[in-house]
Amino acid sequence: MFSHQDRDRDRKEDGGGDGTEMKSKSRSQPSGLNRVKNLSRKLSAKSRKERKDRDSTDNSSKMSSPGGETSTKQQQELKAQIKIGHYILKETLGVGTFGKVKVGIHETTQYKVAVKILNRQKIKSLDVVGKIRREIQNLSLFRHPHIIRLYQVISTPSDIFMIMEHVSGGELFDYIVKHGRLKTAEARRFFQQIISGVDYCHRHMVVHRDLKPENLLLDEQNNVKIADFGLSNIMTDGDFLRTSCGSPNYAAPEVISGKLYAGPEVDVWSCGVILYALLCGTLPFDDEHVPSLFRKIKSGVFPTPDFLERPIVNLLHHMLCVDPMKRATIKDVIAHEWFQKDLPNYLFPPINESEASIVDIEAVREVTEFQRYHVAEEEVTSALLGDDPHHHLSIAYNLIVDNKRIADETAKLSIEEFYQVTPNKGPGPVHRHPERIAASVSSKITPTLDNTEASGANRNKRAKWHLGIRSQSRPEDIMFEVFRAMKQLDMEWKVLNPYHVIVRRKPDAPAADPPKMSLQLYQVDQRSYLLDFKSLADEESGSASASSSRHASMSMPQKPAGIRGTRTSSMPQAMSMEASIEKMEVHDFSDMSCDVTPPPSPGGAKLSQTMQFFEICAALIGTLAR
Amino acid sequence: MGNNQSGGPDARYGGPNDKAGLRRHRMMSETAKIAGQVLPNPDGGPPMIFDDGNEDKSGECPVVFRWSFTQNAQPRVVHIVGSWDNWQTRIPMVKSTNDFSTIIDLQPGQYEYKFQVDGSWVVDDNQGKAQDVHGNENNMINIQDSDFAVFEALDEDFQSSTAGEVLRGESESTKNHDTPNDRELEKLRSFTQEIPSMDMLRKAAGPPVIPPQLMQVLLNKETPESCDPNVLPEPNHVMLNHMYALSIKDSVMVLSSTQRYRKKFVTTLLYKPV
Repeated sequence: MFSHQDRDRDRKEDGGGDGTEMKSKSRSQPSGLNRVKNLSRKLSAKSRKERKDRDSTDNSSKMSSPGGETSTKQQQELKAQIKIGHYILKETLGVGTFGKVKVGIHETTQYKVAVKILNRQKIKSLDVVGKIRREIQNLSLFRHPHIIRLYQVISTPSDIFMIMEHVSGGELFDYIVKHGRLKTAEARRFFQQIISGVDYCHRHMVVHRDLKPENLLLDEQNNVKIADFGLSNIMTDGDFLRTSCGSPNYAAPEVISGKLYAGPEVDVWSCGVILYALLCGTLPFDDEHVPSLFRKIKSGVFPTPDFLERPIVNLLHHMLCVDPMKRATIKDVIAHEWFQKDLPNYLFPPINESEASIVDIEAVREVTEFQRYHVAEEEVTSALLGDDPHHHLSIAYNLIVDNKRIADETAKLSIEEFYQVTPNKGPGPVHRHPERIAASVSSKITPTLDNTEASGANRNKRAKWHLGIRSQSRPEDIMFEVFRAMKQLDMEWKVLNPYHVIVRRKPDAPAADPPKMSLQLYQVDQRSYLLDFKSLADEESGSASASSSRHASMSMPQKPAGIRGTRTSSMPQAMSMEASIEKMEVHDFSDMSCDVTPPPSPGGAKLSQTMQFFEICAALIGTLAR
Repeated sequence: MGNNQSGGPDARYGGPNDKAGLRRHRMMSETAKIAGQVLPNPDGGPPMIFDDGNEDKSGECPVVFRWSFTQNAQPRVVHIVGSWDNWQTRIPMVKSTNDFSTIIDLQPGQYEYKFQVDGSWVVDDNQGKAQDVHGNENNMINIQDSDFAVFEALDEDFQSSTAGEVLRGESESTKNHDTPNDRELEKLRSFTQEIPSMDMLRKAAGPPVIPPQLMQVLLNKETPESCDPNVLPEPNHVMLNHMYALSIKDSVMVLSSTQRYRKKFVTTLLYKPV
């Protein structure tokens, strides 16, 4: 354990680039613990007194007596402090681009937090309102031992206060600068914690996109806390991300090239750069000249010092692979032999798949206890049984269940350390990690995307599926023909950009809400283009306003025919159309409800959303072919 | 060094081992509780509070008041008095780098207030002002309900920001660097049947290069003989909802798409004569 200078400092707000970061630090004065405690206790007592006085003053419309007034004024004179919610604001930890970060003390528990104060006018003029909203959305429900916690967000007319976990150990960046390259065991411990946090984010469909040592904080025990989710985004089904964000040294090649990416693969690249920095004390791709830096990143060639062991070099090359399709996935990293060594159990709690279909009654009750969701337990249960896994109540429920597993493992760890029943592990027999067992079992049941083996005979027989439709005309001519065909079919559209259009049939009545689809023209090579058709799910009406931003960003699965509410627990069989045959392939028959064929709803079965999507595609393809 | 996650309690109680043990024990007891448990707190932090700032007082929300000063004219002491309590209490403000500030919990509505700077009554010219019935000038503030709901406040700010204007297509010349999802962009546009001009199509930047993930077609994967032939590989999330097709053969068009269904995925095929 390296001893380092104990600085009481939280991370600085990062404006998305190194150049825009203001480095202004504030260090708390060293003082006796008892004196600090006494002072806090006095302040707390005064705070309670102040509230009592204010309440009595507010309740009374009478003018207080001169003596009483003087007494009140004298008491007021003594209490110059700022309180937001239940927290008393203390010294400033730092000043970022968007506002200050101050220490906050919970008035009853004396617990210390970091309060990030964002001036609304400033974030508006700097054009980062969306960034702040995404950070709050993505971080507020997260509970992981290695992700900084956002306890509360308080909005006022002029400022927004984010009550966050206070971490006193400084940045991992400063730690590396101070210590140089770390020993393998210490680097591995940090890396395991980072990967555990990133895996948690990805499981909940959030990609961080700004992973770097400056955004990794250290607590008193030198554990990592992932911070700054301002560049994070929610991953939705069928959608790609394109924003070129993050710091250049840690950004993946496809990000700096402005290409589309899915999400997790760019976080894997950043983690690879961080792993290299931990082990070598330098960056794999570094150059003062930005164009030269970009060339190095796109080449994927980086120095490998002699002191790096062979397994680590293999892992680094797999993570820092330029081709995102060949790059290591988070699963690959977790399964790697070097990563598995000395891996604590709490970082990857086993997923009990047999319990996936059992509703946790306690978790349902906890969802109802959120003040934001004023719902009954029945509503939560029906949301879980409904066909929309992205319902905001389902999201909250799954987060609580996941958080419980992590908390259970962490509690076990605390118990172990408290009783010191098991000293540090020796080189005992290596037990297979549950993730590995699950992976090996699933590989026997389910083939993987990487399986490229094929027999020649089968290949000759089978026709090949292809995405959308292709053309070798010029892109503007293709889109013009598409618009003309849509007008001919009496469709209407929204133009997001000339090559990305949202389409639907014109509704027969204002109340009708026909399904929508997205048309996007892609370039395949120099002379070939591809028109991609993608189904867009209906947004659920009447969702809670607090969750509307998050809800709108989610892609929803198809709703069963004839029933659009979330209370139904049955899925009627889609009606077969005349002259059309539907074949349904279910990936896993363990969910027997897919095979059940209940009678159609009394109101008359409609086409499923998927079938309606197919009909629109077929009509448009047919018209374009003519 | 063990991976001890109980950093908070240890830091608070410092050296004494018995206190640390007591704290850990209490935390474990709290973790074991069933009734009344809001959320487990592995790090022993404060309980999770999920509100938008509407605390114990009914309808009262925090409002920040500031008195700014320059380095060469720093007041020694600043107080604020206001109509929220009929001008009864002189509230001392806390000095910071560039200002004195305080936070007062108020109901939504309109209020007048004034500052006392080093003993002199002052009105801040940079904040809203109003005259009362006696002809005196005071600062004035109007508090809205939406100021205290975080996402409503952020949505309002977003609409009136440059990014919001750009996304609505109102000012296309301005460049903005806050790039949300296309789904957020879609909510700001309206359906039309107007065909864009060929000129507009030509001026636009070319279509994006197709991502390699989309060229991984689920139904083109060979399944090992040991697997159930109806079971397909697990798709990644970007492959979902897209339409794949076979070439038209024997006058039949075949389309397919994969959607998420609960914790599984479903691939649907349509055979349609043309």
